[in-house]
Amino acid sequence: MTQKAIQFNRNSIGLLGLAFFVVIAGLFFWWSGEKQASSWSAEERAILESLWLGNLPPLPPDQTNGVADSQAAAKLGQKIFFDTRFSANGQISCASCHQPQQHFTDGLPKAFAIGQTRRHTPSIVGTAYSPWLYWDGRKDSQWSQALAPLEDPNEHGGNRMHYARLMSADAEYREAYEALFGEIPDFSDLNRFPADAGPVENSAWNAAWQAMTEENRHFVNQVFSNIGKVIAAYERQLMPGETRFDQYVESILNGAEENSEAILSDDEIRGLRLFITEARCLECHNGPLFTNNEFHNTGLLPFPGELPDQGRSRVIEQLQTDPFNCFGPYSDAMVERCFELRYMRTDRIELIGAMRTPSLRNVSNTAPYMHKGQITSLTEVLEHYNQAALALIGHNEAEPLGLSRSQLQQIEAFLNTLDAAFVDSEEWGQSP
Amino acid sequence: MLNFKHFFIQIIAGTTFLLAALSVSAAEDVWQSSGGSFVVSYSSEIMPVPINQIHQWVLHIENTAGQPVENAELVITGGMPEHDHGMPTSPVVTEYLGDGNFLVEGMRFHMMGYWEIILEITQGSLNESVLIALRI
Repeated sequence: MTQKAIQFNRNSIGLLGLAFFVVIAGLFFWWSGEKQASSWSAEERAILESLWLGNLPPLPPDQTNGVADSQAAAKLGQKIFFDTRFSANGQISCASCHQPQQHFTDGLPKAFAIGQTRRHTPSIVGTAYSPWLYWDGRKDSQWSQALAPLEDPNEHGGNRMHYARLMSADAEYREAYEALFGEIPDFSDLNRFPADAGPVENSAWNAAWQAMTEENRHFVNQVFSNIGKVIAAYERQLMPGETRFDQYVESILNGAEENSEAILSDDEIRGLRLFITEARCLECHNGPLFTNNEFHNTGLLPFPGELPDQGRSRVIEQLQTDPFNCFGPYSDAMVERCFELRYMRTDRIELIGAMRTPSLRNVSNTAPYMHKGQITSLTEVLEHYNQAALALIGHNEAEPLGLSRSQLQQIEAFLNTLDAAFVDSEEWGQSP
Repeated sequence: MLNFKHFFIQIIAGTTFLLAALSVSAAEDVWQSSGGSFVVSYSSEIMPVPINQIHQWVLHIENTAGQPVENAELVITGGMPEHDHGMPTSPVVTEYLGDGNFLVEGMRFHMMGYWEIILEITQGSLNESVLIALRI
């Protein structure tokens, strides 16, 4: 054999070896990639199940609201929810900002009704599961929450006296109200019950409220709080619908992994895996509603020229003294059952700049994001968490993730699988 | 290379998790106080300990001779040291149930992961703390 031939043979052996290595490595990468996309450990399956809509427990009873589960109350609440007479200018209803076709949000950074509000409109769907309402959780029941916008000058802008009188004056409302709560007080005596009165910013209305006797104020508060209770009964009907993600998990739990791959793409599955592992989303966005309903500072910046939002740290006292809280005279709960309010966290330092974790169901349909709508797209939201810069006030609980651009895209692809119309949207998604 | 990296990270993370879980459960749910005077165990109204649900615990406290501790003052705090934050609630011991058992109301955990509950026990001149570790 010539030197050249030996050389050739050596070269070809080397080339063969290299080719062999490339094939094996390729197979390994293919295998590990496939495995990563579709194979779940027992522990991971348990996590998937914990996020699955099928794992959502029955609605917890709202002991503060005696009509929470009454269909008649829900129907009455639905009418009020869409009724623009419940506003100072006759043009604003709850549905003006909580628009059913937009999953009960409005698509704006900050809500705009009579004026612009301080924060972004959150969705209502599934909030019956939360012990706290609003971004800062300054209300401890859905009915108590529903009352505040009615008197906020930038939202409905009215006063409780006006609303109580409307319930009593409208024949249809009166009949439905009395079937639920008994006789409605007679508000026709303008000496006892002025045209407009309430503990609100409007000084004339406020003065009229202060001039009323305590007993008369109580009559008005009773009707006002019942308006909140029927609205809450309606809001309790707004439940999230089944998404592609839920179908995928159901298929995994049934052992039909082959079918499951037709439900989610490889990228979506990889995004899901990142969501429950390295991206650490699960730390706050956990449970079937993808929220722990707790308060976290994640280093969000205010809009230029605005002061940073103090969040949860500012509302502790307000919660404790709110006449419409669980302890108060208008709550139907026994005081000793008010566990959430009694044992809520009160150390303000940790709560500086902390806001309630929102659900991620329908997240791709509910832009913009965060408590002031500061972030316009999911891509930017994920970038925000990937960087986790220092907070302007308080302490950013998030830490930099170091994920690659393609990994962030995969998480975004997964988040897009969480879309679905809410349950019974035809019955509950429009004015009755 | 990215897949290799993830593969090893997952193996390491999985092993760490498994070891941590084993070490917690191997402790048989009995916890000794800092000065050695008290032995504490707990039971939760809901087992396994749930996330995102307010619930009650019963703490059982004995002295080293195995006698139930009765007249103790208890203060409960806790949190997730890895995340540098406390509990989402302020739990309180509300009732002595007898036989060394104390009712704790307002327990709530809002994240999965490693938690530490710190129980401060004062009995007469003794003041000791107990660290209860649990993974949810």
